[in-house]
Amino acid sequence: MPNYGFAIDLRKCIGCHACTIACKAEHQIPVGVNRCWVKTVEEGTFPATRRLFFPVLCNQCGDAPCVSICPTNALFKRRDGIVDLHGDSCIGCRACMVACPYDQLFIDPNTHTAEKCNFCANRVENELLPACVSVCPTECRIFGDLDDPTSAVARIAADAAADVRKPEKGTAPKVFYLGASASVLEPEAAVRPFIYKEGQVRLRPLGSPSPDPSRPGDARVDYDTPHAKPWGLDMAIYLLTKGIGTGTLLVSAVLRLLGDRSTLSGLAGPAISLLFIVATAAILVVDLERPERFYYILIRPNWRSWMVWGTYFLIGHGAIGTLWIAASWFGFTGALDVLVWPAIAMSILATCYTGFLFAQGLARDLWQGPQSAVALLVQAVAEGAAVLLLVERFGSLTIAGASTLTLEWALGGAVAAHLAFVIVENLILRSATRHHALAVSAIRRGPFARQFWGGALACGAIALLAVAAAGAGTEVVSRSGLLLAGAVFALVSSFAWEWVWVEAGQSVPLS
Amino acid sequence: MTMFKTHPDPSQWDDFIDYESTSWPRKDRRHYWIIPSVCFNCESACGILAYVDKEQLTVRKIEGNPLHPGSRGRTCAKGVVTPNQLEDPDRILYPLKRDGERGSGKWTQVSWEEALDEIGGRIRKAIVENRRHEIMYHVGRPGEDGYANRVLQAWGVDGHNSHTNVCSSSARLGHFLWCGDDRPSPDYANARTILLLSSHLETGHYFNPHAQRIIEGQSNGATLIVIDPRLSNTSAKADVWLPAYSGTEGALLLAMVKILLDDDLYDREFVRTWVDWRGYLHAERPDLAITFDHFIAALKDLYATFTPEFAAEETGVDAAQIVEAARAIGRARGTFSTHNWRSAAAGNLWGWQITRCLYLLVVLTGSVGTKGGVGLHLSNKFVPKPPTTPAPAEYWNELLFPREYPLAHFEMSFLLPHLLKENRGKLDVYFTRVYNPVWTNPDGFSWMEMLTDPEKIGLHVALTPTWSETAWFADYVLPMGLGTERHDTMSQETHAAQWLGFRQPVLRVAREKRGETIRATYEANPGEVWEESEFWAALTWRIDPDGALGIRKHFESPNEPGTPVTMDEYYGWMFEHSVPGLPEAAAREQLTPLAYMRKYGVFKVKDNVYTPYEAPLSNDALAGATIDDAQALVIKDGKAIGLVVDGVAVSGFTTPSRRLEFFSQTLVDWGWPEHAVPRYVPGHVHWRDLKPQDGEFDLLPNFRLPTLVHTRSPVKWLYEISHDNPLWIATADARRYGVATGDLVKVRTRIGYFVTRAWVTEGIRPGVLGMSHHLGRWRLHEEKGNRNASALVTIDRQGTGYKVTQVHGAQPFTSSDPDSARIWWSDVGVHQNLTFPVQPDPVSGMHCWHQRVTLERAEPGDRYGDIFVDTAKSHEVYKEWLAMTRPAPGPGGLRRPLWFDRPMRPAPAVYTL
Repeated sequence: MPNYGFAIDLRKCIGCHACTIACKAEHQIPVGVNRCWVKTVEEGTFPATRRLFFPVLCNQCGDAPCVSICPTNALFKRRDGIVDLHGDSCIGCRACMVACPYDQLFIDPNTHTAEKCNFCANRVENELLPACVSVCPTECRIFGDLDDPTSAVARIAADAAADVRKPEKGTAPKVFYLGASASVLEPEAAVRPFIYKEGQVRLRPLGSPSPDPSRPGDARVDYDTPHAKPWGLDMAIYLLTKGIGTGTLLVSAVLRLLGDRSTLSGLAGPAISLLFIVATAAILVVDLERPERFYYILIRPNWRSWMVWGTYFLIGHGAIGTLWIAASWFGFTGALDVLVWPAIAMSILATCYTGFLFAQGLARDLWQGPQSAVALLVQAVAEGAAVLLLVERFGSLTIAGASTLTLEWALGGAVAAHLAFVIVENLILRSATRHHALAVSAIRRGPFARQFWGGALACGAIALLAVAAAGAGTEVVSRSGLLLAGAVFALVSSFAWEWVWVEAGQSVPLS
Repeated sequence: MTMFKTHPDPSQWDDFIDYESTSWPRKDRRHYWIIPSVCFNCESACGILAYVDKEQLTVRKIEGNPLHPGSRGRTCAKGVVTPNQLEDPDRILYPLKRDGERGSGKWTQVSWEEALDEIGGRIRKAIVENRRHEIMYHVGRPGEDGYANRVLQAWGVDGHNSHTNVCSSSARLGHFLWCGDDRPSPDYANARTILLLSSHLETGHYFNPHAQRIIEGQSNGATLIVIDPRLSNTSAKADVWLPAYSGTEGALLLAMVKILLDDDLYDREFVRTWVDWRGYLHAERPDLAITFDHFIAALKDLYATFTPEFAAEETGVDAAQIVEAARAIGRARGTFSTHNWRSAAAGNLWGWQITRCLYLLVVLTGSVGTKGGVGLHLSNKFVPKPPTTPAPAEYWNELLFPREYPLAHFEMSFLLPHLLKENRGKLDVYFTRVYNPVWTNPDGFSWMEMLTDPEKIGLHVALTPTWSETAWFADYVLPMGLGTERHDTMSQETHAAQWLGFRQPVLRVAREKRGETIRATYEANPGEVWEESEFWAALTWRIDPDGALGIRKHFESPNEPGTPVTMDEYYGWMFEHSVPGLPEAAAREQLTPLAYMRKYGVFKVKDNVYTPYEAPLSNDALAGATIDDAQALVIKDGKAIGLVVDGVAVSGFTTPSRRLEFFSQTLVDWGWPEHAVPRYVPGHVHWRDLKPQDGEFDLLPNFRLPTLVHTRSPVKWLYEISHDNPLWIATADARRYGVATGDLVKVRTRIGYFVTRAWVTEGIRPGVLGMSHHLGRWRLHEEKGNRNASALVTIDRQGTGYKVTQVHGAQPFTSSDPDSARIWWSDVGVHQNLTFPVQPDPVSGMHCWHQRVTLERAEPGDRYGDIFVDTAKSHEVYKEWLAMTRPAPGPGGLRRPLWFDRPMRPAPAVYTL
């Protein structure tokens, strides 16, 4: 069985865009999206100025992150190494777009399902070269079998001078470049202007490095056509509703464990949890490009995808919440004592899986690592405690002083921990990659600075101060007023951070 | 291991089974006819394959034709988008007639019968009343070889007008003066050194065929040198980029000439044999005995001042780089390939002298017609003879070749409004054919004034597939077919071979394969879109319905006299009688020549065409000829017909001397003795004359993009890549004027101004501004025009001028194509050509594109796309340039040297005034 790969001899590429258009024609690609295109970069100072052309297409990765994350197995690897896609199975969750470090997936506006380059598998099966190869005037594109040592593509792949995009991602890309420089290979290496030499700039990633007029020789992108970022406010809202949903059940269960027997932990908290979990599920379904196919995630699950695990955790969470409410409603208090531990476990799972799901978004360095799972848990505790405090106040539910104290400590402790986490992650630790540094810079002083400083940090600090003041028994304002303020500011801070995290994570150019 | 093919094998073309890509990986099979044709989107004539869906009878996609010797199965982006053009929601599908004032935008759909009757009747009346000179056909890129010319010739009309003088006349004239051949045919693939003064890796005359071969040559070790003040994509691929100030290229080239001479890097034997050095010494150096050594000494004298240091000072290019480039050229010895098409030659006054300086390098390295050198278009382009050849016109049309421009290489097309303004004539019937002078030519508002004046133009017929700024001012807009909707033959000198391509209406061919009888192409085309060949035949029959005028017979069926010729008959005759080798090749496959061409779309006539000038003269040619021993010339009927080389009579070149003419007696005879030899003359916008303190710049407005062709490519897939033409400005200049990328700037010319955005770059020489030629399309009606590619504008009269204001740019809209609603770009560029006065070179007639402009920051109230032009001023500039001419008659009372061809040569007698 062959193992198909691709090589592009950049020394021969003249930047004519014939490949882009041939691909569009072969696959009837709508306006605004591309399976392949030719990035253009200018660098150097006159007269030592250079213009570089860099055709990009799917790398058909040996270890394809899009296949791993796809919840319904719509993306799959053929035996010949081509990463292909069953449009019929795609629910349009856009997870693949989050996973691909090369910005090679997009949602087709006609079918509302994901699309990507598949080396023209439809042609390859007819023993025809991919359309972009067949059209190329200068024959700079080479297609063939990497496992056949006599093939041109295998020889180039074996050449020490051949490069791939982002080898550090460990995806084993199978598109090799001859004659590439860092300024085209690395998306972060070139500044991104606000107009191109032949047209308007569309979908410029917000955290892109901007041209510095005092450094005119810097590499500058003169053409690129990124795809729309997959996630936005939808995900921030999902994080908030889910955080409240899991956090309220978690904190309610802990309260019960500590002896609380109030309606708040027994019924009101879990009911709010269920409400928010159902809302979360609704948001997730509505957010799909093909919401009517949402159940494919259950009938065609890919167990390597955290999205699938998350779905089951949310279902489990909803089920336990329902049981809890039922037990509480019908007065089976004994059952509640049994349910406490599964409720805690499931809340933690349903909270933390999202950290792993984001980390499965290999494209985004800001989201890498397990720490965000912990951060999400801390946030969920803060959100849960805050909501319970609000419910207690507005629902006029009386709880024991000890329980109030627990909620105060939970809220204050979680907000403090989260603030510490955010500060350490974004203001103290050094970035390991340029991609990460750009995302952090977008947070610190870029387009997200207002939400970060004013939303996540200032509101968090106010929340912390309010809770501390309440704890210290200050007489300036009422204790309950302080707690309410603390709860509201904690929720605002939490949401602001989630939004910043989602957006800034995706603000760095990928191609 | 699988052997992948670039294309389906021709044996599969009658029923190619493909997997449907849009439902993949489900294996839905679709059946296609693969029908070859020829791309219509530029002049390269690349072979294409149309995939015609057998069920839906639509063109699914276009690919390159692998059998085509020029394009070798590959195409550029513009070829692949043909289906975009076919399905363009804004294309014109039915004949339209003006209803209301010209330009008022009111149209009524009419029948073809009505249109043909009125136009034919009007032409007939003009012919009968001996007003043939009031009929004119004005063509942009012809995209076909000779059909329309023959129509005019049949009518007895000297009315062929072209776009060449806004395109390439100076490149052609310089070449022609040397070797009597209109244009070069470089053999890039086999070259050791390639020098480009044009951006052939992104545009150029034959972009795709040439780009393939330039890169092939470079990959095989050739050194690529590019002279261009701008970092074009071509400059970007160069091994040596020489960004000379525009207009100084001649100095750079002559410095290279001097290095070749001084370092003995020239091909002595070639120059001695093939150059008319005797003529030069005789005319210009009577002090020297006529020996070859004296010629070399004289050359060294002539170019003694062109040291690398002088050239460096003049051109701004580093002297060491000039030496490096010259040595690479010298080393190539017979394998030096070069081309000069638009940039330097078309940009500058005396641009044809730049071409001559360049060709001197070709001659000195002995690279004329050699393998890896520069061939001749005459020997590499193949034009088959039609069934009948009508007699040439018997009058001289002074609107085409006014006597002020006796050496104009092509028609003085872009002066037409000024010539009519001076009452030099009027036009009763004026065809614009896939030609958009209001937009493409300089000084478009003078065109608009002419077109809207019924006293100047009686009837304006626009033959076009789509709306254009010019069609808007027509009386009839007649929809014509695109590259897969018409018959034509076409050939180009893409490399050292000869081939003939056949364009076909693929849906008609498909339906005929299905067994249907199709009487005319419009039956198979969408709407009522005709093909031109049938249109001209039908129109000719309206002009001469009974054959009494002797015109009809040229378009009469040979099989059924009394009926118009069919396309099968016309092209069938040509392929059977006029293409050497084709009938035999067809017979080998048991096909008629026509069936062969319908199946394969192309025929290679000859391969490896090298040094055609060495061809021995035939015995027939030699009969009655004498030998002039002193000149080593073969003389017949008082004219040189060849020369003697090593005792053999060979054809040589098509110049009067049959040799390569370093010295042009013609230029001396016609009043330009100072230009008799290749020399450096700075262009009309020389950097030393500019006043930077006043914001003066040299504007290069004539570069193009690989993705677009003006007038033919306003389609979605191309426009989403390229849709704006900001003003290129060097960083240093931008700093000085306080301009940043994206800022609005105002560029003033002699006759007006335009407002656009700046694009600051290190990719252009300081002092020079650049702006792409392609963009800035506009329309005057919300829905009649290319909505994805043009801005809706208003044009307001202000004094003797016009002010253009953009109402809005491109916008999403609803149509049969869901992509129309996805248009995300709004900027579509700014139309700069409106603000350029006509600047005809007094010799070649080429419009000299470079503009001396003043750059200003935009004032409050200026908006992107604002344009103002004063046409009274533009007529003044016309007169200034006209005053530079040296009018006919020349020797013998001629209007034009007899050896100077014309696209449609009238009878020899009318060459005399």
